[in-house]
Amino acid sequence: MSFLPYAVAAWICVVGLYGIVASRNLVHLAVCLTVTQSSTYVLLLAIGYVRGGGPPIFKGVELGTTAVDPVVQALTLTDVVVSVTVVALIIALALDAHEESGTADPDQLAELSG
Amino acid sequence: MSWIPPLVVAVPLLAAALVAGGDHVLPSRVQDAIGVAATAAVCAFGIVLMRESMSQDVIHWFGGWRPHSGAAIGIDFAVDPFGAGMVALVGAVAVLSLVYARMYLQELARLFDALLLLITAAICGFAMTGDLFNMFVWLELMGVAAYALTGFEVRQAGPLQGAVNFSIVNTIGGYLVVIGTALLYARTGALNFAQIGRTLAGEKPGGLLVVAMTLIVCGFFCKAAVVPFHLWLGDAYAVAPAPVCALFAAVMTEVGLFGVARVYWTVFDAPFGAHQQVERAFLIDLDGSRFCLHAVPNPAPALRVDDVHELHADASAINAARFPCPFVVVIAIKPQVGMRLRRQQAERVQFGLQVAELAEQPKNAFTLVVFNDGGSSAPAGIASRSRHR
Repeated sequence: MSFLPYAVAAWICVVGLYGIVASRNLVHLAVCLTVTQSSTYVLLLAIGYVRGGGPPIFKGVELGTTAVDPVVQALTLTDVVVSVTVVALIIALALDAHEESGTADPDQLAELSG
Repeated sequence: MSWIPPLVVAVPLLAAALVAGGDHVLPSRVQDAIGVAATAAVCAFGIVLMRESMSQDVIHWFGGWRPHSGAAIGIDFAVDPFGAGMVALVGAVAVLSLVYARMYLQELARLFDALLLLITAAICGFAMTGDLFNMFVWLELMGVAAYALTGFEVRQAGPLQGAVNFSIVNTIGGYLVVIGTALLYARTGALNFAQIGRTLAGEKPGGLLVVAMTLIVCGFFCKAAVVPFHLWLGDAYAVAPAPVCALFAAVMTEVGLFGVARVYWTVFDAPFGAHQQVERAFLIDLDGSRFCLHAVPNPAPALRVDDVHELHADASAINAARFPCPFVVVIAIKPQVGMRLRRQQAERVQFGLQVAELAEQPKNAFTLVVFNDGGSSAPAGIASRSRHR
């Protein structure tokens, strides 16, 4: 089992976090959040991967055929669905912020709110 | 009685849909009644569940996917008195904040009620679930409703800023929980708490388990606003409408600690508990008493103590009363006390253990001991960057 996918997941996570910290725009920040989140997809899929495994669909397949883990795929899908709502909400807040104060920069917003 | 747990979540969710869908159709009194009735029902269910779960946990397997030969594939709600108490508390606080919101925010749109019902359902689901990933889903649902409620008065820049900070920190916390969950799944091949715990029992805690536990605990601490993940709290509380603040302060931050307690005692106690006693007490050093208070704005039963002797006195008071509380949060307020404690490192650890032992008396107790050092040590760097200087 290669450790490369795990290294990639860790790297994506850290890069996303850096983007969140350094962000000057709320929309950019929301995108960075999805980048951080995609590290969880990579991690989950890497955990469930089986070398030489087929898709986990067992209709018309010989019993005992190797397949990748369907549980982590379900988890990834749930993760996507759940987190999309969060990102949608943050983007909606960013739009409102821009409409109200003419800026989407978190630091300037912080100054405005005192 | 295993039919109750799904109802606890379904009733407020259906009520939320009804309130949101019936906007402008149903008269406002009917909608108020729906909201209050649903949350009151949650509280009642919680009390019934508390009674029922005293002797044995109330367990409901969704879709009849019961475990076979020790392997749980389905998702369950497993209610113990701890979770049932949380449900009852959430229901009661939600009733009060709905009634209060009627007086406080008269001109608000109906969606406020729907969001409050949603967050009630999410916290109940979180308190009852027996599945680690399911816990994350409820956590995120709770988060989404909470972010929307925080930024409810979106016509001002302040609430926006508060809601954005809140949502970002908590979302990152959620991702940490997912990563930790994934690592645990990789290690054990299970997501059910009981099954993970059973698989890990009797094993030596390895590096992977330590990392998984750290990630999950940090993720929940973001929700609980425990130092150093507390920076969002001031922003969110400052801008959220008062009825929402009531719900946040009474229940939502405690939910984070609840999550840690639940995961620790079902999953990590088996591999870690037998090996290190110190594990029982999380000792957190920090600077500046306001950060302590900031971190725990409304601790369940917090003891504010100004002197070491008082601290001991209070500790023995807990002992005497056998506080039936899940969390004991001890905060040493005055810097001098912290300094004295700093000089007595050994005594401090011993004290942490002592408190932990006291707190252990009730089942599932969880102790968080926060000491204030007064001097300047490492965490000051994080703390001083708070916007609330």
